[in-house]
Amino acid sequence: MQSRPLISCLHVAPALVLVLTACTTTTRIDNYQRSSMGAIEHGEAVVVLREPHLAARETENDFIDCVGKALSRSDDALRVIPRGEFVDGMYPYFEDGTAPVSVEGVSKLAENPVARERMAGMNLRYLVWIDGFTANVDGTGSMSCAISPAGGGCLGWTAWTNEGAYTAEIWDLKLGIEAGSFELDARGTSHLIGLLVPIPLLANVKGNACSAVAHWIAFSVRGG
Amino acid sequence: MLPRRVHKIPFVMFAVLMAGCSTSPVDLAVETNIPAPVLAPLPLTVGVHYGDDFLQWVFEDEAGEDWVWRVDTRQAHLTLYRSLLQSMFDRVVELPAPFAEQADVTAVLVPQPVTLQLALPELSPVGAFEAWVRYRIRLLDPVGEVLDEWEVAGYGQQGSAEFGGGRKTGIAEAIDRAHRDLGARLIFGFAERDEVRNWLCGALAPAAAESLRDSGSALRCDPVAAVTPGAASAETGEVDEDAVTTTD
Repeated sequence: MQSRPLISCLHVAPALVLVLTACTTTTRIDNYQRSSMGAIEHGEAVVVLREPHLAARETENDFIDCVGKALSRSDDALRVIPRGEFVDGMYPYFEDGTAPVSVEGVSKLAENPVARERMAGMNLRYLVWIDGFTANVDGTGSMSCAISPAGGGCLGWTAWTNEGAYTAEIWDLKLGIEAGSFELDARGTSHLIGLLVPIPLLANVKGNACSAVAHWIAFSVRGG
Repeated sequence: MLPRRVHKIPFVMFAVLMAGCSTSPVDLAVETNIPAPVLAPLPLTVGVHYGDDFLQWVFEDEAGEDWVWRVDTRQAHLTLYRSLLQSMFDRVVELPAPFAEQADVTAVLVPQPVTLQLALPELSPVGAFEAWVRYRIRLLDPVGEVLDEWEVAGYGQQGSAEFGGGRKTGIAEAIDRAHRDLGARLIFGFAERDEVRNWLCGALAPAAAESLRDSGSALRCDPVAAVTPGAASAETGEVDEDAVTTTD
């Protein structure tokens, strides 16, 4: 008599489909507003900065850098100034405690000839402020791992949900207006399955939010 | 009778146990990467005195129940103040004492560290490494009389999730950001102090004071506010009306 394997393909396939679909991320764009924003012209630059918050949770710098890089990759013609390069080059005018709170503040900054000259050298057209962060909001399940002289392994399952909420505000420095804004939500559940070895199935919530934010910034500054 | 060494064993064990329970300090030497400020320097020579309390300052802070931080910011704050002052003034003279016997300076600045506070992510309300730094700044006239004294603070935050470094890296990054924030606030706050503005504007030639408006300097010399150095009493801050000059 032929013995049946303990775990057949019929068992594995639905489980695999379940976990693969379970760790997907959803992103949702909301409240997209765009005023009379002109399309970016050749040679003009965009910079993405985090909105300053004092003694409150700040947007992670790595997220801002990720958006800047994704924006740069989205269109070779789009010149993106890295965040660090911009804030260092404009020190001390774009620090958390000193950054302009309105587009008029940037115009006022341009009255300072040293700052104006530095900004002119950058040919900056759009300044994008990002606010928000990704956080762990839920968790379930349990997993235990053990090790002994005979061997070791993990057994169990755990899952956690990450949620990201971001807003972007786009200033057109050439026209001196707040040219657009949008909100973006992202959510995803990651799993860690212990089948002797721990198998991580991670939902890339922050990465997907980064790509989506960059996409909508590119869409906005290119004139739609 | 037991040998003397045997008598010592319980004491040695007790000492080992106590050492195991006690909190060992975490030594951290902080550096700063402050960029050169985008400023037009004032056409003045100022002195700066870094006292022993500045040069030897090493801070100890209990950031958590099991952690005592011994933070050495000496190199960081020296770099910070040198960079800031060199961008704010044409010439800066480092003085061995808080007065200038021979150097021809308009005023002498004396920065003094007041406090450094740290928070680890598990104790921080925002779940991040946080640092607050505070300095007292004294502005003295060339003979050492106090013209003004104020405090300036800086805040820095480093998200705990965004980097793979340990606690030392997180705290060092938060302190660096706090220094950077402090630098920005010092530059802008400096020019807003009435006594400071009056003293420096008074020391400038009228044409130089007038030209500040279009120069990109953080200092603005209000034509009616400029006072000749020496006109303000160091103790009372009262101004001799005869010494008031306009920069028009």
